[in-house]
Amino acid sequence: MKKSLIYIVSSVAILLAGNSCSKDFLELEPKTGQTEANYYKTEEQAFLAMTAVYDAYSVQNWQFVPVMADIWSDDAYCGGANANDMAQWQDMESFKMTPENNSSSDLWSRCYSGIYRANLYLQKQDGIDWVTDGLKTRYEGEVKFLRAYFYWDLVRHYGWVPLITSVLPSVEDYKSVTQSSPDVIFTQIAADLLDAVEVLPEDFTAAEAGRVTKAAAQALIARIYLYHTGMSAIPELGLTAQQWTDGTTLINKAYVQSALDEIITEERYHLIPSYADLFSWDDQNNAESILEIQYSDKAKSGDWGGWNINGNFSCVWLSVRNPQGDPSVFAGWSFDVPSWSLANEFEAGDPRKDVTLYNAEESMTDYNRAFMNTGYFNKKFMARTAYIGSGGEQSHNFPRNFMDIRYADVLLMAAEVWLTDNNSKAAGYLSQVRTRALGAGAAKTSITIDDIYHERRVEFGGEGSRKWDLLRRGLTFAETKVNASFVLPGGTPNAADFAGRVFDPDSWGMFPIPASDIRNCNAGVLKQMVKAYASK
Amino acid sequence: MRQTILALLFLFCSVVLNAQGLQVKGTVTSSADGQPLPGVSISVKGTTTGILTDINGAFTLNVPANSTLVFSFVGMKTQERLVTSSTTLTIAMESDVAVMDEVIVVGYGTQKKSLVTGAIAKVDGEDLKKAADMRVTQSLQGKTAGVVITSNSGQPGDQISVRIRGTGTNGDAEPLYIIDGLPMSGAGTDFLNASDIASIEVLKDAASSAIYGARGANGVVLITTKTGHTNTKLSVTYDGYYGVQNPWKKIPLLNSSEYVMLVNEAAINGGQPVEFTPAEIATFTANTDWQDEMFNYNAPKQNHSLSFNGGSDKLEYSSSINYFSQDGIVAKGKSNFQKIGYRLNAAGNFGLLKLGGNVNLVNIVSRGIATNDHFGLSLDQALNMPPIIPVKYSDGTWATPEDYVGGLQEITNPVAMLSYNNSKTRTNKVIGNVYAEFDFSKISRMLTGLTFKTSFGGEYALVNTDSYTPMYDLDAMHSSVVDKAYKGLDIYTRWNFENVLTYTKAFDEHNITIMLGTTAFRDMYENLWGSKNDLIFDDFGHAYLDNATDPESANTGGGFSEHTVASLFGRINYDFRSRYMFSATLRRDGSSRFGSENKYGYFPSASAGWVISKEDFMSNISNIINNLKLRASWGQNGNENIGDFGYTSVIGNQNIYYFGTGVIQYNGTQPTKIANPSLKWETSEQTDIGLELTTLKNSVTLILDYYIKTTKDWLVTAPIPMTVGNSAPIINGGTVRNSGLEFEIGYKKQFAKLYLTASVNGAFNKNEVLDIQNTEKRLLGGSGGFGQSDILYAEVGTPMGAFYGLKTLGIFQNQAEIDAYVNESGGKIQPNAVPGDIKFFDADGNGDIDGDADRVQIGTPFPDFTGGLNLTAEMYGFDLNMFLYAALGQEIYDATRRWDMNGTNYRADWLDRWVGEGTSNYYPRVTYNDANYNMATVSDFYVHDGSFLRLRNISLGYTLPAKTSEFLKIKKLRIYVAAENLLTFTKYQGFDPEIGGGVFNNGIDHGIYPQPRTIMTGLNISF
Repeated sequence: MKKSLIYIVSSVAILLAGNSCSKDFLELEPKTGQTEANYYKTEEQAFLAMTAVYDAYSVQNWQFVPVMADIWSDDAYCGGANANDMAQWQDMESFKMTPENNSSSDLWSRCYSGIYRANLYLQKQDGIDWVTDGLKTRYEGEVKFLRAYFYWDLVRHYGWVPLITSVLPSVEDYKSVTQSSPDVIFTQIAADLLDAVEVLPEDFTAAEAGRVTKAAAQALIARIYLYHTGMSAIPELGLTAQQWTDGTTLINKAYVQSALDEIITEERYHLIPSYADLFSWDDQNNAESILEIQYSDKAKSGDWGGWNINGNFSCVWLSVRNPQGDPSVFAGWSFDVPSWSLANEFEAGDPRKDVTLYNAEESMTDYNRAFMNTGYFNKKFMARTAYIGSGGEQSHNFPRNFMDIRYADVLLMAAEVWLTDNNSKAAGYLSQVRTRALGAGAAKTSITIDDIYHERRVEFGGEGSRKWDLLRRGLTFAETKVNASFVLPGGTPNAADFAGRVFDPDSWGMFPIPASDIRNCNAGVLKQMVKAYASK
Repeated sequence: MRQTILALLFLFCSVVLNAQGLQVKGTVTSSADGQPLPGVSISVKGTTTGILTDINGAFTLNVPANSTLVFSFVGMKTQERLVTSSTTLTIAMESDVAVMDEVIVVGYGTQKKSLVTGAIAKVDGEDLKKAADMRVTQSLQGKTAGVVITSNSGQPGDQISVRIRGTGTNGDAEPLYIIDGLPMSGAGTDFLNASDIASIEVLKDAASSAIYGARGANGVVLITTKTGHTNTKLSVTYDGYYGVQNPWKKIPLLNSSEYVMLVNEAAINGGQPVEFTPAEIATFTANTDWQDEMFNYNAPKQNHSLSFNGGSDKLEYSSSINYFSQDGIVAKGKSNFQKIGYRLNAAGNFGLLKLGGNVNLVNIVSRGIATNDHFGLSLDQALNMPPIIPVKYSDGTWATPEDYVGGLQEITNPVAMLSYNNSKTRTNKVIGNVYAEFDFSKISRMLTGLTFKTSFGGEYALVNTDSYTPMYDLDAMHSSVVDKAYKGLDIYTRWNFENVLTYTKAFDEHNITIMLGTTAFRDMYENLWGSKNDLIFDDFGHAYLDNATDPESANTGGGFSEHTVASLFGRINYDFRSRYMFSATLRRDGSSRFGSENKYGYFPSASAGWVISKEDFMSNISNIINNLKLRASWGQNGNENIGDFGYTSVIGNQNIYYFGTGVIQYNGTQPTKIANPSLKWETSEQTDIGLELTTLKNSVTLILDYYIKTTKDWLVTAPIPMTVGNSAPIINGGTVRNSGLEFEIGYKKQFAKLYLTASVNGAFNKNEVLDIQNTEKRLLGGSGGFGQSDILYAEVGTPMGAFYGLKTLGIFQNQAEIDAYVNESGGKIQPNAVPGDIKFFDADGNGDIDGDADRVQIGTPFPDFTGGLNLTAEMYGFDLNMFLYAALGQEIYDATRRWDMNGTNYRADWLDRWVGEGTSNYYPRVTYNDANYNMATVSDFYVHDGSFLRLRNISLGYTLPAKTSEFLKIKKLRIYVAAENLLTFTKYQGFDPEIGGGVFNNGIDHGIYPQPRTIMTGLNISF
């Protein structure tokens, strides 16, 4: 009896003690996904970490810069269902943005997400077991190119932004990072891009389409140079006229002239013979494409939050509401509707007009003439029924890449930088672009800056470049053009939709710093520096 | 399986009792009505001999001479009779109104109610049965003070939100449920059948719940299911009802002509041409009542359960079969719930060992639509659909808004959308436990009072979700160019292993109980899903992936997660003469959800009680004050509801990009969020002082509790600057205090043939945030109408999630008022306003209406007071039960109307809109061009009084007199008629004032699926 008693009591004691927190029981590792501590070891992991940086470049979550830029410019109007639809864009259209603007904070967030991924990559790359020659420098160049791109998006939209070039040890550390002035941000952009130019490959295989190349970096330097030069006219920005630098290499007119000439003489890229073919959904990453955002239906996206949409969501933003009579058009929301001002810019017979503008009045039996309707839609990127993805949310998966920089732009930028130094060379470059569309007879032997501006506008209509072209010729130029676009054709039935829109020169084309970040940083760290928002 | 067979054997076992000596015969009746009482336990004092009265209240027993017979019955005063010779006795049992020695379930044990020192509310299973509600948790509403239960919607099978003593966290504030020892979430209680429940105990104060340590911060609900009793004859009971449900309210909306008038007026006010020309208007023939189209009138609801209870001298069992089905009152055929459950609970005594267990098998089939959502297929569509649109055109095709009015976007013909909606969720669950209990006193008298219980409980649930999207083309926003089959499979597994050693010892007048225990808990989740397009059949019945033919469209996913908790705990209870009580607990928890720096947490508690009425100085008023107890408690609890791996950062792979002309997808990687390895528990600390009083000959009981509950180190994902570039870490980020007063007053009295009970309970709770650990010192969340985000906020001094917006100051009646509304520098505060627009209050006084800075608290979704009133009257076999529930002082944000679209319908009260000076000071003008942001602004225009008083349940029953039932050879038969939600008193104009939700998603009406009004008839019969 006693024995069994002892036996029982001790078994109970063992049961109690045995089950009291064995360490393994509580130390779980995630079964789906790796932990940060075990990651960033192999070349493949490095590649995927770099891919995440590219992903931030493609994210549209209601802040896609080309669309917002066109809405802002004289090329397009906000549109939508009514005056309340996408208030953040309506306010952009009306020059009444406030620090609460959702697109402003979405853009800010997207840029800093990209910068975080880039900084994290650059911090982790030394822990990778590199085996392939040159892979590390190439990836590093790509990541730096993309980081420069994010800072370029930041500096042109906000001017003064916190400069963060590494992942800081604690979340608290970010709360005291004050804004750097535009020249400091431009210096950082120059440093990353100049590094990238050095190491990025000149050529790439078909499997690498979409990866950034030396030409992309050179073309981006040229694009930023032109913008920088124009913006330096605003004294508050404190930019040095006609040049910018990383501290050692001067990016001035001569640098850009030679960089663009190098792309042209290399002949790796060329104009697609037919302008219409350029925007074929079936021939993407074509010979004219230098930098192209990749979108596809393969991920079968379906996230209305916007961050995880991997098709070209903007196709639906741009398309016709309730289209009838043209089954090739997938119904959209009628945003970013091209202006009459853009339509009128085309010379008679310019085939680019019909490639750029979809005329719903002519091509459809009926459609919903929604807010700020002009009858025109962005034909280059509007959603097409034939390309609905195989899965996920129909409107999220259009496999339409966005051509960010193409060879025609290199030619027209080259024309611009050579304009005063060698006008006939400049005219030659411009004529290449012009004659492709209008035939040999349209060639010019001598050109003016206005010729280049006209050509750029009709060549790049609907591609998001107009806003930056307007701004770099000065605020007065932009003001004149934008206000002119609100002068409507006589008898416009929906004139009330356009009332009360006046360019605000104090905005400098920029966005307010998101109010939530001002609140979430330590008091006084972030300030509205842009004149239009400084009082908000 | 073996257990099932064993248990079935039990069912056929019969009761055998041995007796000898004198023969005593007799009957036991109830003194109240003279009716015989079956099931009264008669035992011979000092022995284990005993018997129960039969169906006629009769008994025959052989006992030794000079035995004392003890007659006991639940709810009756125990009586003793000395027996000296063979005799026939007639015993009239008196009801014991103040059942002082009721036993209640506490964590890992039971305790006499009189000795309890914590705030524990018990709800008896019988009370739940009366409510006849489907969801056990819902039936707790208004039953006990301080437990606020709000339905998230009236859709069958939907979740409800339960808050015990206020909202103590910004995260998951639901209590922990323990069903027969197995920890569960609120959703996990859906398998329960109300008639299987013996009792529900709500552990409200920390001293009671601290024994659940890291998981008890939001309170604990202990659910105990029925067991059989040894030495009881088999009893078979059927409980069933059938009812029809209807919406209790329809919202008055504009009819076609009113709609056309207001929309055209809005267009003209917006400077635009009329939306509908006279020629168009002439063609409108429809005047569709979209609510009627969406409601499912006379939706049936029924429940049938059959239970078996009984036991022999060694075995006890309880078993039931239950069928429940309910159709929703919205969306006929697409919103319903059906459950079939089987349950067996059995135990047997074998010497020192008691072995037992239970098993539940459940099958649930449910279908549902969006319940409180202005997107998707919900009732809100009916509120926004223009009445001019018919359901179908004369050719039988669906009518759509785009043929009438532009830009209604997500708003479309909901009846058509219902026809395309095909989805079904089937859940199969097995839940059960086995236990062994050792009573060491049976080994040695030295060990009297020492028991050990080991138990293992678990759940395995398989959730199958099937859906089918047909190819359809309703309108531009509602079409699918493919047909698609979807199948999802979720597997939930959890188990809990528990060992508890208890030692009870009495010496002189000191009683001490020591309990020590351990548990290990693990829960796991696995899922698998796939979808594929182009089916060879075009109906839901054939929507299997094998019938889908497009290989390109195949899409799959699946994952796994797990969570473990291991704990050690102990409790000591002491009392002296049942007059002074003291209790203390300590628990140590370890959780996989925290990093190595904070893996373990310690949770102590202490409580004391003093039964004042037992003091000598009270003896001369003992017939006035029957019982008076004062108790006080203090304790700490934790909360680990943050999901798995909250402390670390997992590498996510959804940063997708494509490379190559062949478009190869690469799943880019980055950490999913910023890590916080020092993350620890949320700690809730609570002090409670309570008073229990019984007076007026035990007819009145009063319980009063005052508490202060402070939750520190909230687990919060506080906003961080976006410059960080990744999602915010979970931090221990704030403090909130709930303090309040609860009361429960019970009254039980017999007036001749009338037996009356009434109970009122109520609670006042104040919720106040004391600290938020982020730079902004503020948390925001919750969506109002379209584009209205962050309408709820919390900051120091406010409740956790109060409405946050602009204050309105009426309507500008004329231009002079607009011109006079100027700032210091003389500029107009609302330069875009025109007469008829809303005047907003410039709260920060900066001379500008500028969003965030002008927002103030404009209401709170939390009631100041919640309470219930239960009334029961019984007379001549008739019984009347009534239950009222009230929630007062809360507000509702009415986000039902899609203001962002021109052409949505209006509620009829918009006919009182501003149309000129003096016409309205509340409703602004209607306009297509709202430059003043009347509607876009989050303001108190949308905030309404949400107080309500609801007659939750009323029933009238009749029980057959004993003689009649005896003749029919049945034990008891009761028939009843009942109504749920028969009356609701509220000023709120929406479908339902009862709008639950998460902490930052609470009290916002997006066109909620309302609670049904049900009229039913039922039958309880036992053999």
